[in-house]
Amino acid sequence: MTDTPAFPEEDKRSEAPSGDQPTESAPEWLTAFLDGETSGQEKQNAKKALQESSDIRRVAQEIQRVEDLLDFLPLTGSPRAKIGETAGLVLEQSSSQPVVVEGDHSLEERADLSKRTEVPLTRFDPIYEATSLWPKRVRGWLIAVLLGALGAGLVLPGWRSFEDNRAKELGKIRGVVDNFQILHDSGDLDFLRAIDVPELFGQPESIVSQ
Amino acid sequence: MIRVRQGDDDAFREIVAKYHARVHTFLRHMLGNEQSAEDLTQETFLRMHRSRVRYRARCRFGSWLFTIANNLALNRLRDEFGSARMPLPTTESGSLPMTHSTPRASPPEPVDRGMERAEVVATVRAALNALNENQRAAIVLSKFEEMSYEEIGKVLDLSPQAVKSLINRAKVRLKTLLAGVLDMIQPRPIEGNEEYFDD
Repeated sequence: MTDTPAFPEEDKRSEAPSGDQPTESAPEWLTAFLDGETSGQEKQNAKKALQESSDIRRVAQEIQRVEDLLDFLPLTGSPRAKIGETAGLVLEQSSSQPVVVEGDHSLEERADLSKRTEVPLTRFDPIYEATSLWPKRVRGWLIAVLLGALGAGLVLPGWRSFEDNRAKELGKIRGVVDNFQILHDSGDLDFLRAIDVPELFGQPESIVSQ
Repeated sequence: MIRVRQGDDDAFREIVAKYHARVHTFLRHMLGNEQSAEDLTQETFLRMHRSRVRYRARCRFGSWLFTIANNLALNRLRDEFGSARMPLPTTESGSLPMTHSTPRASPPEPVDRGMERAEVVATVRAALNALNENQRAAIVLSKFEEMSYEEIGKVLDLSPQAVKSLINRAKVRLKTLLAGVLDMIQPRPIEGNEEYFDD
């Protein structure tokens, strides 16, 4: 065993081993190298490690043996009849079902379609929007009309009350103007009160006598 | 696939002819069950055909097709076993038909002739079934489809670095599970590094 070759920082957990300890697990870079997934410096480092470490070579050979054992698993063949049958069935079934359009990921989403998947579909799919947006607009208009009616019901009585009060006030002012000379001559506060609220104090004697 | 998008049924038949065996092999190894594999192979092509409008030429067709197949396999595993994270039962050992639809190097002969090939196949299949579904899918796609880590990542929705770790863990696990039969295989020069093979 010699020096540990330098490997990129991010691959520390799979650095080539050093010392004489046997390597039981394979580092990631070694598996990647054997899969042809390394290039450049990483590939050179892997070659160097294999050259310098018998442990690394042993592990590499074990991994290759695993690969060779996987070759025992047979590929399956597909008889021409089976292929034709599948294609025919698919075309037949597919013709009776709608073609999935843009925005619908239901056939490709991660397995297990859950609520979490369905929510984005209803939110972003133009088809779902087309069917769900109009009821929302109608509902909005209905709410606006109801609010308007409710507002009118609350405002109209208040407006009537305001108009009545204003007429009363105008009446009082008119009375004051009409009787200005009398008020000016009297200098009597009680008289003024009587003018202001005649139903409470009654018609003052002085005015009646005039 | 462009022709399929335009509704060309003959083009679709050509795609089925080209990919049927490959999808079936993938699903057979993922599910460990021949009947389920056949059902889902058909379902894969049905979904592919129904979603054909969504296919984009910039996406590699194989990755797209195997993504559909993998998702269907995961759903089936969840339906049957409750969780796709669990390894498959190792009781099933029915051998696959020994028909190869695509050319491939002949499997190496076991050194120990005393062990039947069928036994080796059963042992390897049991080891593969013992992996979790992501590890199994990564190994099958790498081994049988010869996909790169990047392509496998597209199918499994993982980064290439994550696939690198996944395959490494899977192979280490297989190495452990197959320790009893590893010695049956004749060692060979390390690929791309023949000059250093001296043990």
